[in-house]
Amino acid sequence: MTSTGQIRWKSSKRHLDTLLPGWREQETTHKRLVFFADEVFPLPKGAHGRADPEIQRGQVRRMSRFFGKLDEAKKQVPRLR
Amino acid sequence: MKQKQHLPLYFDLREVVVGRGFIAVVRMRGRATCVEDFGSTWIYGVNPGALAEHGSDLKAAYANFRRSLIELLFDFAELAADFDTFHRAVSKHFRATDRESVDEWIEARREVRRGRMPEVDLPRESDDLEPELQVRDLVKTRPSELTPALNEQPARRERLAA
Repeated sequence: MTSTGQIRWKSSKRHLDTLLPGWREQETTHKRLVFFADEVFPLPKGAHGRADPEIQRGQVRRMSRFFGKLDEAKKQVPRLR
Repeated sequence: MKQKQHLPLYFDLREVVVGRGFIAVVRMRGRATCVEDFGSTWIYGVNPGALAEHGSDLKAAYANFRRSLIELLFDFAELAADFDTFHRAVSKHFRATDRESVDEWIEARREVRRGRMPEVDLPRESDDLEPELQVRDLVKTRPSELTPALNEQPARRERLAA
């Protein structure tokens, strides 16, 4: 977690490994696409060149809900509540 | 604890997207919910459900949501080998949503219809509108059907479902 309440992508990936087994990501020109269970959720890529960009909590929470894993995500990341 | 106020929105979008061997005109009427979350204003997609953007206020959040949706269309075109693949990806993304988001939007509209809503600078849409998506390939369109009408922008963009 960053000081502004955003979530680092690398940290998010660790949670995704637990919450969304078999998930994968693909970077496109504008987005970081998260694929799981034949669905896709777009996240921002973050600032150009950032190896570990920050992701807004609202996006992480929405993605968790979209994939049906919000309750589990809140347990892992209490600040998503 | 005070319940967060959700604003039910309709939005229209018309965008030309160029891909491998196609020129697509994408028109959609979608639904979204606006809510104050994490210290800023968020627009959460309902159709499409897989999109969330924020801003300092409703206007800024919606501008970011719209920009993000257009960027995503461009990225779908980047990934697609042909028009049919692009069409399938856009249609699938537009339809994909979750029950909780749909119920939240319906309940938010119910609250607006009960008269419980803050002052917002948005036109109101009182008709019950279904989400709609049209994706057309101009390359495969007969010359006689290529008219300036295809340039027509939606009359309205974001509005409050009331």
